[in-house]
Amino acid sequence: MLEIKNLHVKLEDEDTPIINGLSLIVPKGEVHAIMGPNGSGKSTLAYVLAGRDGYEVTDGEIIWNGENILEMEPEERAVAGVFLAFQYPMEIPGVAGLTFLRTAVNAVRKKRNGTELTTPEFMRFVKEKSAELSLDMEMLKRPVNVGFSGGEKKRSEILQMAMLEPSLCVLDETDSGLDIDALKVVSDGVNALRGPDRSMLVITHYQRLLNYIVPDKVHVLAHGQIKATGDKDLALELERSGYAAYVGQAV
Amino acid sequence: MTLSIEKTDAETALAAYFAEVGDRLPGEANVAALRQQAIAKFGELGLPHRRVEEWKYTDLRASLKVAFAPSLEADAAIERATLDLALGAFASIGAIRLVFVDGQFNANLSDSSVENAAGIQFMPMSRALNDPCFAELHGKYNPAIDDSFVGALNTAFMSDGAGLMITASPAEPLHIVYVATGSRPAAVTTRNVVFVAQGVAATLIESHVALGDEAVQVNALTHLGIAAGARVTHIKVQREALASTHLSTWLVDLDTESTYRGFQYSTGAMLARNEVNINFKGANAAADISGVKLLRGNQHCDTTMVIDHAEPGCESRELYKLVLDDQARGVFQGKVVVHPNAQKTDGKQMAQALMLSETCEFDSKPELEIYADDVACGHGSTCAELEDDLIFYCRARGIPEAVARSLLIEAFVAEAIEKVDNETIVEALGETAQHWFAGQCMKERST
Repeated sequence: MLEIKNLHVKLEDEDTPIINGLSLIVPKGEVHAIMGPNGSGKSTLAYVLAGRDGYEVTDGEIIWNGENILEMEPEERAVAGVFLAFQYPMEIPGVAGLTFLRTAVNAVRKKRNGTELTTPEFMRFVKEKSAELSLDMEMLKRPVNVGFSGGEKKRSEILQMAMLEPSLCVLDETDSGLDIDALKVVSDGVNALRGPDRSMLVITHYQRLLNYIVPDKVHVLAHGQIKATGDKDLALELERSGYAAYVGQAV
Repeated sequence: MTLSIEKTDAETALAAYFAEVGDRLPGEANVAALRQQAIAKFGELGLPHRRVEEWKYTDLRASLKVAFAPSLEADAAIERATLDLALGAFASIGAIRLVFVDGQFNANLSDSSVENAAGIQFMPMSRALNDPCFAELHGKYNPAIDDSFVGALNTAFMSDGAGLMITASPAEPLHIVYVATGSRPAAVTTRNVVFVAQGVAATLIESHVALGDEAVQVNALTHLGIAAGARVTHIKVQREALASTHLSTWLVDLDTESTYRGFQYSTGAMLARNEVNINFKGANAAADISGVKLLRGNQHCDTTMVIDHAEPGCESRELYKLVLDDQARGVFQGKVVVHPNAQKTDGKQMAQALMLSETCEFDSKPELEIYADDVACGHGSTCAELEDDLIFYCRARGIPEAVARSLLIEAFVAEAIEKVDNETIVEALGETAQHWFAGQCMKERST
């Protein structure tokens, strides 16, 4: 279970708070969506969960499976099961996709249970998972994400997610930059990972993604706080009426 | 007006060593005369210092405090296994090995197959200096060698090296190994003279390794003549003990439509200077030189290059990648001269440094001298730190920070290594670099 308690976050070198007393619970096995307008703190929440530098948590805690992950390094969080699918996946010139995946998968496995995949085991695993995401193996021989289209980058993120076998998936605007076909492939990939032991936090601007990845709950984030919580119908309502009602609310 | 400058201890010692051992160095009267001229030239030039333009960033007069005595004989028998250990990944590449221990040819450690290999005539330079077969070749060597301090010193003290005439494409690379036993501080001065005949394809590897941590002062010169239409790949792996000094010169003459691919890997020595002189002596030839320098601590490594486009239609490419940590200093000087008749010259140069500390230094100086009007020449230089965003991306995938950094450094240098057109050598270079990255990981973990 993910439990965020009264979280306050600001940028390290600025005073303006971005997240302002956010509290949220995502039980094991559930998929929750976070929707909100630009600047509401959605991406900040995603980065703080993953442990990116540059943010200062001034109050509150994030408990994942009983541990306060705010005290962990990003790589320790990955080992603990946290996975962030980036809104803008990074390009790493010179590092082949397969090398990157294998380094990551084995680093995580070694810490989790002391075992690593052999080369044939790894190759079987990556072939199986990339086929599920219709990702050409040839692309993985190229440097990570370099020259990939928007859709290919997102599929490559979901492939990493499938291979790292996280228990908490945070998807930051996974739908941005995707056409309808790519959205379907990516959503199928995400849905395939849904399970009783895996929690997901799906961050998005638009309701459209939630037609494919149907959430158990929808939260509205504005001014760094959860302003409303409902079921998937809340997303439909937002699509009709917009965020105006929440943006107007005083902090 | 000539100013008389007081001799440094090292300069005085070098002259004294020559007086002492000069007549024991190999070669007959004609070679002895060359040596005399060279030491006289050295006496004139002295150790170069920062007011000599080409040595601005590498003040040898200030940094070479002590000159070691020349090594005239090899100590102690070395086991092949011991040498293999020192060679690391380069021990297992299939190659004909020619081994020089403390500057002297060692037949036991060398592959005897060189004797019978079709199209290869090998002779240790100690003999080749007076061999009629090499005489013509030797006569061809660029007389300008002795105009430089390093070259003059090399001519004065050279003890041995590989003399090679390659007249048919060898099946395997030729691997010239210089190993320093470190039994005492010694100056090792060697010269290779290699001639690759028309249309022949050959690969030449030079390894400079040490068996221990004892300092050595190396002056290694290779003169490579590439005949028309020949294709040569030339690799250097420089990994001496950390306290060493390494002065090296490559003189490469390229004839019509020949192709040269050079690569230099440097992690050894406290002070290293690699001079590369490419002379286009025929039209439509191509040279591609790349290099990787991995430096930490107080290491100083200088690459000074002169690409002389004297003939039309030639192409030159340089790509150097430097990784600098601590107080390390990397120097890249790249001079491209395009003579008036060298129309349609195509030259491109790039030197890039990855700076891992606040205190490292990168001095990059391109120099283009273009006297022809129909040419395409460009140069570039960059320096950067590792990107925090990329490190975070790796860490978010569970890759520990030190590993992430080493992965990114590896990616940075890969572009230069991959210019080598031999997969086995690319792999061996990658593996050799891994040791440096592993050292970097250890260092970062301990800080």
